[in-house]
Amino acid sequence: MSNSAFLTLVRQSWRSIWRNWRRTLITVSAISLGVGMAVLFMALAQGVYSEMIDTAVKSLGGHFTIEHKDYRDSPSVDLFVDNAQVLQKKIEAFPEIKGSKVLVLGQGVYKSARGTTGGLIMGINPATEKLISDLPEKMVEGEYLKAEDKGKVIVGKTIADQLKLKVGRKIIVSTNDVEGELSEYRYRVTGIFETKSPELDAAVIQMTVATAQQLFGLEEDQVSQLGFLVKNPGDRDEILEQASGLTTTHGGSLVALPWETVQKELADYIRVDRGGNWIMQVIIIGLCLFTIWNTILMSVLERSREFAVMLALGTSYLRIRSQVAIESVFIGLFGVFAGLAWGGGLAAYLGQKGLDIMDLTGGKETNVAGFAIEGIIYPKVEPEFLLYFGGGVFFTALLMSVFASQNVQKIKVTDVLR
Amino acid sequence: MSIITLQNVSKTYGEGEIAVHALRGVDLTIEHGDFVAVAGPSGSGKSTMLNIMSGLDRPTEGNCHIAGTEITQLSSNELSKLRLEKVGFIFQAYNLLPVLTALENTEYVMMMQGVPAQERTEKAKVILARVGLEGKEDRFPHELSGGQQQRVAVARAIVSEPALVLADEPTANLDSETGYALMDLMGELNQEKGTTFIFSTHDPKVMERSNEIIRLHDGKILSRDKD
Repeated sequence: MSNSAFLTLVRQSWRSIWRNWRRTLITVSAISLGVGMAVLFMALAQGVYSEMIDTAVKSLGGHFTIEHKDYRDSPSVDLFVDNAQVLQKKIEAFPEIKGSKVLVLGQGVYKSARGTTGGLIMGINPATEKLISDLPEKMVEGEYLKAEDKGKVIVGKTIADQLKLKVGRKIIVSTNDVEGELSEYRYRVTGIFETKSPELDAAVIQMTVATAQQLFGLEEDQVSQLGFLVKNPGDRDEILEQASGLTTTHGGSLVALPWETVQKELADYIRVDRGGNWIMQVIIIGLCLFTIWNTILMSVLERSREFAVMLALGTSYLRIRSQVAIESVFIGLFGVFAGLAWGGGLAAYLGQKGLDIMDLTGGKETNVAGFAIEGIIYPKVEPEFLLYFGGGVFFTALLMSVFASQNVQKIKVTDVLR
Repeated sequence: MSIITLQNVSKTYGEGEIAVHALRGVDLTIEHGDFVAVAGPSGSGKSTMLNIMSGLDRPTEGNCHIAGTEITQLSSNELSKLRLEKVGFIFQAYNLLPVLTALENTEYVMMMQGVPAQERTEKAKVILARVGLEGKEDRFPHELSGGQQQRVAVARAIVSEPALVLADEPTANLDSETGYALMDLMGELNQEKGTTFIFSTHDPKVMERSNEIIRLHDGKILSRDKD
């Protein structure tokens, strides 16, 4: 086909879609609405996931964690990382690492004069936590731990309520140490935090690493986990592999695990939720594609006389079907770009300003998979998603138009022109 | 030399008791440069004969030759190519492509033939001027009167200088004056370019202007009257 013949084909297609401009606008609007909604919802979901992951990795074991190889199966204080500082410093030296933390973790029973409960004891480095964790900002009474705080703890709001604790009151923590012996210490509550995460508020008490090491009978350089935060989460797997290589110095007793393994429940929740979202998007896009199919089919059936004339004049089926396909390209492009523009634009705008969902959640923070989500969501637009999603919709629409245009082959010229 | 040869052509629609015999054993030869009207009442087989002559339909029996090519065994694509190269069409309802201007409609067949853009535009402008549509090249069909649209259809049919132009009741939707003018125009083009014109019609104007009238009745040739 010569250039001028192709230009005529494109011209014919362009003019044809505007012959019934109302139908074209309705179709473009339907595609745009579907694509835009899909983009917006995915960006909102991605924003929620990002916040959940961010909260989880900051509050707990980081983007990846180094721990004893058997700790996952049996989280016990005697499965610790020895010579932790050397390893921590080596991995911290990677330029991609944003920060690191040490954690001493164990289960324990908390007692006060008014009651008993139990939960997770976290030994943390207060200075590090203030830099990378949101928890120090969640203090509702008292103040967060300081590096020099010995014999002091902060407790979750629910624990405080259950044990009728206030700042300055005493709490007794009982646990088993590395030898399996009962270990019991009395601490003074220096602060109460409220994250709105039931799991954290009802179970966690924090103390300094040194205090926790004393409680569990660990030595100074022995910790339960080393957690690392990376500057760009996209680089995580590469760094994880490098870090994994460094753990061999510990005789194969350590493993480097991604947060998805450490926070398996959260990872599973996100995977399932993302799957559900995809199904919703597929349904929305399916409706859009049905609209395209319907439009193209109607346009082919409605123009059977025009196509019959073209066939009578010697036009090939291929050329007519190409014309129909180009019409779909125009409609698909307009719809997809409009959808990406408004959906992506709105998501990007909300990504800056934030979407306040306080009203939707009853005026409180909400909780997803045990992690508190702030009332304001910042949708996250991923350019790759826009590209693949927009491209996918466009090419599927084009494919559907190819099938719809098969009806051109059924045109019986003599019957139509009779 | 003959441009069209029909040998014992029959066309039957349907089968058994509901079979309709549109053409019954027609033998016909039309020479190059003829200006022929195929006349007859509705249902006599005029349109069917034109459809078979153009390769748009296939005979149930018999053979059809266009410019020496036997067409009954050709594939759809071969027939399409043959029509593109040898046959021009004029339809009763004009049937211009609605999204193309008068000039683009006139150029359409040449474009399909692969004629270079500049050459076909020049030819299309000349022929449009010849059919009296100078200055209306950029108008779309809906911006033209019925007579003007049919003139564009004539221009489209003859601009690529096909061996044969088939016109199915070309004046049926035109008033008398416009119909006469159109027949005069086609007559002139027949004289100038030697193009063969075959009309199906029951319009006296068309028959009056034709050199030969082939009368059909019940799918058979009743008579052939030459001037």
